[in-house]
Amino acid sequence: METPVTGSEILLESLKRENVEVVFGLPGGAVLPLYDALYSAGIRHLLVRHEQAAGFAADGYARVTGKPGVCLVTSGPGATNLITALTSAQMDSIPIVALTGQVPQSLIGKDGFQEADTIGISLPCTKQSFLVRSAAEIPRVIHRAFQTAVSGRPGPVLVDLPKSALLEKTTPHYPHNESGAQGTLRRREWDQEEIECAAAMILESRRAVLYAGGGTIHSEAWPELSELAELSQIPVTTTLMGLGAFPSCHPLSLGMLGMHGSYSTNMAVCESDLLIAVGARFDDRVTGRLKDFAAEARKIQIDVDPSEAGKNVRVDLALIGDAKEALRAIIAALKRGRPSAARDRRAWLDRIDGWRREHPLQYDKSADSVKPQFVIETISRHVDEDAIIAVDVGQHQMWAAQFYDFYQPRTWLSSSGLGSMGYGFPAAMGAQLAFPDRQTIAIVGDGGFQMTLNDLATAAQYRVPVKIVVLNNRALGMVRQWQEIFFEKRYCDIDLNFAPDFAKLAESYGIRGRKVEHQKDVDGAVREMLSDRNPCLIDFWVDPAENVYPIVPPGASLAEMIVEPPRVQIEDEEEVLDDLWTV
Amino acid sequence: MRRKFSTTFGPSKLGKKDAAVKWLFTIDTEEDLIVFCRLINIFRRKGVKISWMSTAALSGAYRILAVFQGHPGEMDHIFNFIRRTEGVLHVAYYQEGGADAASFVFADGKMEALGTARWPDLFPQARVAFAGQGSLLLEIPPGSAPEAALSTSQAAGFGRFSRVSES
Repeated sequence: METPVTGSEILLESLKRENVEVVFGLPGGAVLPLYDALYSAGIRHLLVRHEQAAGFAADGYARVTGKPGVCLVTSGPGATNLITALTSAQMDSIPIVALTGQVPQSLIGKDGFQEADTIGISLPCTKQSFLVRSAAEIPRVIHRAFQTAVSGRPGPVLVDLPKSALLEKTTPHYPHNESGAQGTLRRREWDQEEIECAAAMILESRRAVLYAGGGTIHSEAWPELSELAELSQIPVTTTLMGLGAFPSCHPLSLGMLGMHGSYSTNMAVCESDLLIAVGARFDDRVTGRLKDFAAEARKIQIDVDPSEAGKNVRVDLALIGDAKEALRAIIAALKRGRPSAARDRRAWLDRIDGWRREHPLQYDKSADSVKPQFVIETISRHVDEDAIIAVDVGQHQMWAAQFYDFYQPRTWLSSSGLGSMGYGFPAAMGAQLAFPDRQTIAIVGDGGFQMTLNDLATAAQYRVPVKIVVLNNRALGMVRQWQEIFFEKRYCDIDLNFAPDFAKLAESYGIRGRKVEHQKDVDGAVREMLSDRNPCLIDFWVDPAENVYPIVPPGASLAEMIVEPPRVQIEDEEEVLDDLWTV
Repeated sequence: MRRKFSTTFGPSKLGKKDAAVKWLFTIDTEEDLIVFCRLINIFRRKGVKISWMSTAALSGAYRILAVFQGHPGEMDHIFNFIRRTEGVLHVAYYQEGGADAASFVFADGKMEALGTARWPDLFPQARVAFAGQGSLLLEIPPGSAPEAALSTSQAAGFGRFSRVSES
């Protein structure tokens, strides 16, 4: 008979059986038995400086690998600090397994020290939550947690671990699937009649648009997306989550749609006669005013989650199931039905090109002040095609989405649904741990970075060679932009001039830092940063008056977007900038 | 569950102006209160105002029966949201009236006009689909219910439902 072992040891063995390579965490009282076992377990652990960073790092790891990211925190405040990261992962369908400590079973519900109702708190922000009651349950629960995280529509799963279960000794019985549960469990509810219908709708359309969301990446359907686009000559727009699913340089690429989508993309969607949504959920930032969204278009929705079918927008055909399989089936039907499914879409593509020429994405390239768009373009020009870009939330995020050229999926990390500031830097660290040799760049704003910059210590301690690009406009830029455009320039509490010198702060952590204030210095700084094999930071002091355009006003339709800033002659730029900060 | 391509999905063009009708959901979950709590939270978040709810603990499962008013365009989404929730084993939903061949009768235990003990006499071929806390959902094979029995049950204020979909 096998020697009984502790719940902690069983847990770590279970993680190994799920092929877990790295855990992001921060210890505390309730998980001390687990950290004791971790001491000699052979699983890499990255000590973060705040539990939220553990969650975001696990998220970043999951996005670039497609495997669940694992984070480990203690009970009470450790668990509550994790909630934002779990909510973000839930919104973006990112597989995470969160292990939270809990007070001993006998103290649950008695307001013990560092007790929180973690299960109760986590209910709306996880796909599933488990409370482990004994050491014997651990192998089954952990296996199921990993399976749940990746199956169907992925998402975060929380396992709450009372200290008593971690200390208890028992003889473990592990589930048979010892190779791990990772790998999408594909789902399909459609029948061939529906596939034929989809193919017929494509063949009948003249102004079709493919609208690809994060589900395209989760199901690894990007080759099929490209094949369908090329076969049918249908242009492809992606959501913020879908960036990377279709190469930016492809002639059929439309880039991102929605609130900050380009003019040509939004117009193409408005004028389309068929919209094929692939793993996209018709988010309000995408659709603008619902009743006008692609109003003349028939709509096909492909989604693994049945509850997404027609949730926000009425669709004509819903194919519930895995996007990769659905696209394969449609491609096969198109090839069977008509050898050349391309039909005459030249006129449609020419019309889109016309819109593109009419209002391209643009900014003032001749300025001396650093334009944030120029920084993004410079980075895009110098990085490898498989470089990983992580962003925070705000103006810089939208500029990155607009001006960075995406070549590959799983290279773009963004808290898209929840829009959580502070995400970019820890997510980049998580991704860098998964791929130590790939360039990994966190593009952050000065507002978001101040929410998680304490983890500079983590990057320094483990020499995680992530590159941090701060687009520093000394303000909560997107809030300022909205106050400027929609609230009559009544700037209220957006001033972040009281901030540390980020370059010096980085230096204080032992990370090389540099400040750049002139456009002419951007290129050299970016190249120098990318050649550094250690973590480093560049603080770009960008033009604080720069806004993100186009912008669809809240409640407006995509066609009502504001394409560019109002053309006013600024006689005294200094005066205008002073005005920004003195209100 | 199969869908046909001729069906459209999503919010009705009439939206909330559609007449609200009565719906009945039966849900079986794993024997785990966390799943139960998650479902109740889903009802809250989706704005479902439950007018009658009954629960039962079965062997290895929990069962929930909930009745509420709602707009037809919203029910598909709620049904799909519940059926894809982790820990839900089975879900079915029924519309009051609905198809002509309504084949379910729901008896609210709070009603005293007709004792539930009489149901087997009224509908001898019926199968009990749900029973708990005095409420009863009977499945009646099509054509097997005597008209008199249906009239009696309707007169007593009990609901006639037809099944819309199940997982």
